[in-house]
Amino acid sequence: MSPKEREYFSIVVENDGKIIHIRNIELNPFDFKIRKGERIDDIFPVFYGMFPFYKDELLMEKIVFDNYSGSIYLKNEYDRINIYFHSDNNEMDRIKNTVQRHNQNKLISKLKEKSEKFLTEDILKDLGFICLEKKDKDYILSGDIPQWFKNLFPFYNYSSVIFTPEDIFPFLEIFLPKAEDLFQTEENGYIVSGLWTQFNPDREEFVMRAIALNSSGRHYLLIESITERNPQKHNDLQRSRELLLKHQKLIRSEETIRQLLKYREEFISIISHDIKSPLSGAYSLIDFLKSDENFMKKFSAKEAHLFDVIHKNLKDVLDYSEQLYEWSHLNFSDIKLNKTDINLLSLLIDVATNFSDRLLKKKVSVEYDIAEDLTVFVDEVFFKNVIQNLFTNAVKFSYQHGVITIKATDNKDFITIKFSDNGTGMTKDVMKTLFDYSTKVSTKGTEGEKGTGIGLNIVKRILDVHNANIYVDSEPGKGTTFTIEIPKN
Amino acid sequence: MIKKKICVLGAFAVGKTSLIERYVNSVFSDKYHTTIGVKTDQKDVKSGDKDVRLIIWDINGEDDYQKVKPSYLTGASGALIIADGTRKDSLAVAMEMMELIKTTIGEKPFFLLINKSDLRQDWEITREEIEDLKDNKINILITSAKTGDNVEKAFTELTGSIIENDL
Repeated sequence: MSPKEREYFSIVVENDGKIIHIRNIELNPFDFKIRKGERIDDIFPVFYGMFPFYKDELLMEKIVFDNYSGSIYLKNEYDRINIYFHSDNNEMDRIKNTVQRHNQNKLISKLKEKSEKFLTEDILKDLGFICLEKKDKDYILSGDIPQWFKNLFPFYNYSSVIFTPEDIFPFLEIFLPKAEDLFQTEENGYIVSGLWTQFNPDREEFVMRAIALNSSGRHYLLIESITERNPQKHNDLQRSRELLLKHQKLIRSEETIRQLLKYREEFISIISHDIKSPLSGAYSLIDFLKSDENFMKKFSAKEAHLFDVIHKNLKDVLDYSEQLYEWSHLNFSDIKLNKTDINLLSLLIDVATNFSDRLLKKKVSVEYDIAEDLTVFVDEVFFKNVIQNLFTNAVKFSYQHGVITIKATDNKDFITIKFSDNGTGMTKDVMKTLFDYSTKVSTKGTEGEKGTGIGLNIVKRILDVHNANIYVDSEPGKGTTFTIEIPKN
Repeated sequence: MIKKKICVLGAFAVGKTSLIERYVNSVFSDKYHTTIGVKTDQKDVKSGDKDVRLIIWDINGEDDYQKVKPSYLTGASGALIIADGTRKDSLAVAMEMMELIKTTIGEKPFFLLINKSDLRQDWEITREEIEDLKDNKINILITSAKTGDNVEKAFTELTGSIIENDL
């Protein structure tokens, strides 16, 4: 139903359900007056519990109460709710008008003899109804058989004009008693059934409804197929339910993913933690033995070299398990930052000291372009980890005699730090997945240094929780610059 | 031939129409197609020595947009109430339908079908919940309109219970 296309009787209410306006009063389908100021759910219990109305719109189809039968459409416009009533009575008006038109035509053409039947075959053909007139206890077929009935029952035996409606249409079993009640009244009037669907032998669906009609002392049961007119309403309901199903499925998927991620991080955390102690013990033992000159003298140069290899490999695995442990703990919904103003230059020099061996080995120099009093408002422990990872990266991909430049500028709302090296650089494809933890690719350094592949993901996670940004700019063969923007507050 | 009306009820998209399609025509489609109002179908079966014509009423799924009209249940000899194993909320609707049956047509035979057993890995309704329902003397069958599991059995057992109830 589109309220814009046609005029309907409508009531405008405030979000709490208080009536503030009534439109098209002349189309009021109810036999009582509706007044402003009253609550809509006091008048129509069907709306009970719906206000305040939080939805944008709602279509309620096939609503039946009191003498009303039809659809109700609620449209929320800036907290004023327009309620449109689309009564099935409109359909009856259509029938009445057609009958009226034909009867008038008859009068005009001076066909004065009283017709045997109130509804002529012409009229029935126009309306697409199968019309059964109730006479005594029987329903007698009146008029032509519409095409849809022939399609629905291609093998129907038309030898008798007496019909047993509920045998043909089982749904009518519940409607006919109501129709009988109407026929007993002898007053002009009608009732409309709900919709039902039946299949023909080819499993084609036919959507139908029935109307029981008292007219001038005659009793009719009219049945029509609304298969052609039904799709729009059907599609609306179909679409809303499909969306609801998708929505429910997404919620379930989200929950499953959340649980899986939690499980994975807990699993990694436990494994990396538990493996750290024995690894650390083994590494310390080898370290101790290596430092014992008397002990080492017992071995040949080749055997001593094997000690070095074991020592180095143990260190790599230990570093990796520490990184993993750290990574698995960076679940930022739980993390609590302890932010303070940290002198940036001091922190950088402090971290660089830890890299002195590696810097010396590659003869890489570090240049700072940072004001001595410049501070950053960060969690020192986490931010140190960021700088360590950037140093690890810069040294790893620097050639001999390379230069690492760290420049920081104080902007209005944030501090910008540029961390550059003139090393190997990287391709655009590598840059695209650099911070993505799902693609853990580790590239070897200029002297075969290995990495874990998760260092930059840790950097990104830490900076995210600081509401800081990180960008990368790189060119193969020329070097890489990481730019970090840290908010001042 | 005796005629028996059975109603198939439940939340929307639990597979009511698919179960009937599977039973009446031995076909299944994965596509969800909402039912408006009532779909009536029929199947002639034999229950013991009796020929029975089942008039199956596939009643629109219950949700905020469509409510089951109690009058649709009038004259029913029994019912199948369907829940979707992958949607826990559909079990709550099934419980409401059970109450509706009791208040509308009284103590008539019914079976609760937990449908979509082919998607068992996605089920939200737990084994414990099903056992609890069984403890409450509710006839339960686990079905799949897709594979046909227990579909024939559900209709056959319901028909048997209806005939027995008549005696």
